[in-house]
Amino acid sequence: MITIKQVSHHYTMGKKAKETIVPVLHGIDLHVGKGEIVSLIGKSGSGKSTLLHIIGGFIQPTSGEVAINGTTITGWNEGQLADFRLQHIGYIFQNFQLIPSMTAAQNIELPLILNGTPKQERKQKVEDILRQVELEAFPEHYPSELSGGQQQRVAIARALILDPPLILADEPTGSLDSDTEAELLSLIRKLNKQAGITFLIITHDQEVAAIADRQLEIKDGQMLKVKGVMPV
Amino acid sequence: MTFKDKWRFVQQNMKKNKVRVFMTILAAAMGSCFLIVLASVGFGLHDSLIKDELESRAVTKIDIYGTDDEEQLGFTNENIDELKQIENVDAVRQIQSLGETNFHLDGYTNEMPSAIAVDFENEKQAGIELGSGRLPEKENEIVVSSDFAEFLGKDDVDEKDKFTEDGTIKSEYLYKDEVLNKEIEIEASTFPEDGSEPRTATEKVQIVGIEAAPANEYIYTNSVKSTPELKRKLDEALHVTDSYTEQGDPLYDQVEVYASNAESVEGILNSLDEKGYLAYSNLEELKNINILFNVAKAGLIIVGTIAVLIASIGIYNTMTMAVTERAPDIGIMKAIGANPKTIKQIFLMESTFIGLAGALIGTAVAYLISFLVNAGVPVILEQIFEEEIPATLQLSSIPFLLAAISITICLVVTILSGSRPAKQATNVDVLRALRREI
Repeated sequence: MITIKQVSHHYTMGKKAKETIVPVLHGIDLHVGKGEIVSLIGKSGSGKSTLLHIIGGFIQPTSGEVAINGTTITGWNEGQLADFRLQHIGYIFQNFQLIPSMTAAQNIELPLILNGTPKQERKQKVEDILRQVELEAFPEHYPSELSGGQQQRVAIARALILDPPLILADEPTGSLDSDTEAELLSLIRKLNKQAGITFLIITHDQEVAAIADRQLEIKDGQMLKVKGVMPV
Repeated sequence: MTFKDKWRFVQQNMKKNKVRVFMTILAAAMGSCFLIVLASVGFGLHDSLIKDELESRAVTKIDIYGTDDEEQLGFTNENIDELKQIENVDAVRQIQSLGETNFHLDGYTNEMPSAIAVDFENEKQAGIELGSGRLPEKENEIVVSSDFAEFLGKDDVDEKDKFTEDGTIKSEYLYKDEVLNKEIEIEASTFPEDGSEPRTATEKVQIVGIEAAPANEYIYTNSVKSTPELKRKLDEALHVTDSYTEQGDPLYDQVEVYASNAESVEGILNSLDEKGYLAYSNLEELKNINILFNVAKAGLIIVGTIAVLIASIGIYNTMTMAVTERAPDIGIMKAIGANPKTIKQIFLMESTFIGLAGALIGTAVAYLISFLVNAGVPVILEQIFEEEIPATLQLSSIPFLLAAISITICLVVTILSGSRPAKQATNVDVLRALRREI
């Protein structure tokens, strides 16, 4: 599902002529198979978020190659990446990233609107997914009227609505209490088993990392150790 | 993403900032309205002038004021025949002056109107319009102008008492009855150059027709049109010979040629020049007037566009603020797969809507202002200057072309002013927006 070859990345900081190069990733190789749950752990500044953003197409790597579902996305422009993301990748963020002026149902409907799905079909799909994430009682609630766990379930529903084969989760339980965290992890496992969706989860929470088929650790921009099987 | 869904987004976005959007539409409407009202004055005055010219048949009329032969004192029948042969000539109107004439009716006299003898068949072709009655069929029948009666003043009244300050006859000394079908006495006079006694001849004639009032209400015409036979009769009685050739054919004092349409005037003028006639057409003047007014109208539109440009600053500001405020939402949309083109289109649609709404409201208000100006200003001017304003005078006119130009300018300006903020929206960095750093 995800194949990363020799991906390196550095940030350029400071003003012109006084720029400093901050290296973040060094020759990362990674392969995530279809239907796998892989967790990526590491300390702050280790480069795990940067790697996720490269996989998600938000950042172009300085060097190396990224392929998702057999398609190499390195070197694509922003429009191509956006279209690819819409069709192939669902994204779950630590702080949910819901549009506050839209209701839960409208937030979930957004990818369907971008995809050009007819209104009637959209309505049906939203109703179905709300049932799946057990939020059928809250379609007209705004994010501010929902608990953290409910908001994250709205975000998961939004990520799932177009049936993407891959979901990238950036600290998905970072804003949740332990009970809600457990509920969410159970939901992730259910989705993986039932729909065969591939998950790549970034976390520094060992409990979250433990639900993965494989655990990868990243330190100082390099893959350090692997629990389970080899990264490539 | 379908157009309908994009439009729904635009509506949602505008609802969030109703007051700001309303004020921006208001500014665009004011700019557009100012542009149209300003330019409408140019269009209105131009239309009035053109209407006047066309209604007075001045455009297709060519005055022949002489020939290359300086010895020739008038135009002969041969000249008239030659003029009639020219291509695209609709009618040739030959005129003989009756000289000094007075008209007496039941103790009232119209002193020295412009009295001429014409061929009424030619008059018909030239487009004479009667307000009442008919054209003369017998030699002692005449047609008078609509204002003829206004110049019929009571006899035996002191000249000082008879006239008002502006030269018109006081109403108490005016002939009150209808003049149509009345028998009136024509008194023609001649003052021989050899110094002999002035001679006078009189004839009884009947007024069988009254010409329609001219389009310009402020023009008073005091004229009489008689038959050539009456002219000959009076000349014989007065022993006048200089209005005729040696063979006894009439010599015409004035000739007018009427072209079939305005486009053929130039060709006829060229033919006349080749044949040795000295001619003049109002069309040349009209062309110059058209050029002048078109330049003036373009100038007014440019000045009006400045107002739209000022309004566009408001649109730019509104859209820039909208992009800044919505940067986190834009970031989320881009993160879940919104194409930058879609984002740009949503913002462009919003600025276009603001521009279009402003332009349409501005145009509607401009039409209302134009109507009020045309209805109200003449009344005010009449009150101030105590003079009648001609009905043909149009102070403001908004043709469809002007409305279309204004809406187009407003739309182009607003799209341009909205395009930079829309571009900014597409450039919103997803990660920075998600971190609320924008």
